[in-house]
Amino acid sequence: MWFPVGLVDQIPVDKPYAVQVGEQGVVLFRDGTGQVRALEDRCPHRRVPLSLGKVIDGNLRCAYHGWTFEGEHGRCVKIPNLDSNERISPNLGADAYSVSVHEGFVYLSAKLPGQDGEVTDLTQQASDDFLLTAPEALDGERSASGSFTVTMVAADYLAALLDGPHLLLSLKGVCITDFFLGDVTRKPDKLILDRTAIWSNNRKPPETAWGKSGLLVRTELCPRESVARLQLMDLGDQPLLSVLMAIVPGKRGTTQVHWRCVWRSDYAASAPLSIKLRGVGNGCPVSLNASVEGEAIADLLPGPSLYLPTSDYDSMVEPSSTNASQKELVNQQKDWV
Amino acid sequence: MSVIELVKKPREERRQKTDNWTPIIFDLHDTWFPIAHSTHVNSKAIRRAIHAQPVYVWRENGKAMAAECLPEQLTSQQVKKTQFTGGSGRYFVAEFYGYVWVWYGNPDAMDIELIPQIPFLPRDGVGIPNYMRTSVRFDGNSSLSVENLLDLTHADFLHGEVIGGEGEAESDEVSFEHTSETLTRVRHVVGKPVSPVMRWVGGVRAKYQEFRSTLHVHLRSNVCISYPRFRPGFDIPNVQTFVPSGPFRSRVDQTFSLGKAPTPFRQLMPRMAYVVGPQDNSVVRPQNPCYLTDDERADQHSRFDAPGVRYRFLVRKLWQRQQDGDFSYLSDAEPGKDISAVLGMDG
Repeated sequence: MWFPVGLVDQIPVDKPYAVQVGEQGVVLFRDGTGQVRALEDRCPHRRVPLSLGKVIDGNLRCAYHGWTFEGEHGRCVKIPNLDSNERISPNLGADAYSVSVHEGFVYLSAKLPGQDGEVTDLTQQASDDFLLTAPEALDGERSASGSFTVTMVAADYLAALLDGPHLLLSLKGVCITDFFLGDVTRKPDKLILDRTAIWSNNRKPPETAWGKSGLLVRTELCPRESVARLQLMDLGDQPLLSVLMAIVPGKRGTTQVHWRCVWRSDYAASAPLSIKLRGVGNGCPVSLNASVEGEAIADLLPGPSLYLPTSDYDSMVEPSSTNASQKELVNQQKDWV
Repeated sequence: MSVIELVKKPREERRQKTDNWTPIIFDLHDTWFPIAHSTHVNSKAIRRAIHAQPVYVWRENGKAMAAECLPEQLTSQQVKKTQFTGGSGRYFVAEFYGYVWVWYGNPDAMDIELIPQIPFLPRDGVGIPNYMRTSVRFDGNSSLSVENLLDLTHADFLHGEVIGGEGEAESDEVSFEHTSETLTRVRHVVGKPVSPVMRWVGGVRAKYQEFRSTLHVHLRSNVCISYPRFRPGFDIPNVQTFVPSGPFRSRVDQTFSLGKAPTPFRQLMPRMAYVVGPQDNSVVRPQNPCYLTDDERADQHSRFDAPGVRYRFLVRKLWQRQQDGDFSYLSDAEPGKDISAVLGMDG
């Protein structure tokens, strides 16, 4: 499988770029043709992070002793001050990863525990359910992207995206409510949840306003790839904006969020004048919070996130059988529906 | 939530060896550590450490003293004293070459003759100008810090604008010799671009120079006695003390001997330690955590690492001997012998 680890436009032409996947450090850089390459962020000579080094002629040179590695296989291609007739052993080299780039995101070959690590073409994995590669059908689109690290475990971040996305991001001129439109749609690798949204400048609009909501926010999650898409849609189910997120587990309970937002240039066309006058429609309409309010996150009531799998092998069609109380609660919810 | 594991590309041709080099375990006993510059010690106790052992150093009537507790706690029953001081709380102390030395190990094995000989410094420490002393921190385990010095090829990349230079040399040869207690590395470089500090401060106008750097390492104490010789140029003899301050950091009280170098080089060169130190730390600091636990993959080496590989072998062998209860010095080891010839001072 392929796992997104960052945004391609963050990788400079002439410098390495460090990303983290759990405890594994990876350094991304561009080779002489501009192609993105990925090596373990560890020099095999003296274990210094290669991301401290320099890109020289499309190869990555370690900052410590100058050992230089090509990107495709990680082979060591230069050790400074060797005589010209000295050959570098093919045994010397850094570990390399297969890289794919799609829709602005960089993917590395990955596997779940117990699975084999066979690498296929990314497009073979990119089904309709694979969020980040889904084509964006937004006329007159504009886009923005960014990355940040948040002090929150990735699994909790995904759960909060379902239960309370308003704590993680804000949409300019839009109040995201917690009034869910129906149940969570559960597919083998994906959860989908709709909730109402209201054109409003207030975080909590008056009670009289929510019943007149003319927008919905659709949250889609692929927990296995740790990706999410959040779309603002009008009443005709037409997307006004779409935020794609790669939610990458980091070290010490942190999470890196790499996001890309695409929006229609007229996405605020249906907004009331009072909203438009506040400048909605100018600039990127989404703002992701690099710091979360711990108290608000702690107080967030469990809801649709109960459907998230609690282990790699849990089906998302049914709640985890390992958590009886959660299952019972979900069944109660079903009964209520 | 998935626990994703990134899949590395297969590299069948690469042999995977293990060496499990975890230098934080090496706590070698029965040796003298230069715990402080003599000039740093006065009547008020200062706190230092050797491995996990606390060391307080101060002067009484001008004489250097050291204990594992504050001097006023020496008589206290509340403060536990260890076998390092035979239960007295006081370490054996000596003062030579401008350093206060503390015996670390079994007090019964203390021998003043085991203090390393430093041929370019006055034994009584008198006459060393203050500007030739520096103290820098190393953000790495003391063994990794010694390895940093053993493989000087790093200077070209890390200290390029000060003492290195990324230009290739005509030839670059590394050799070493060793005893059971010391390792001596010699790096001989011909046709190397003149280092910036020597050009701009030392007034060396040649484009290239010959560089012969000798490093004499005492394995138990990590005392590194360095004798770099530049031609055209000068000799820059120096001592670097890598005292292990716990398993993660080391302290370097450095003393230069630049009496034969011109002014202002002799005054400025020691100050370069405060530029070079942070540059070293920029790599040693993130490197250090990678050596805290076993890594199934052995480090890869080039021929420039031959002394470093031998250093690891010797330290491990010495440590194993101490683990087996043998703390003695073998017949080939004379830490206190004259090393002028070993350092190449005579030629």
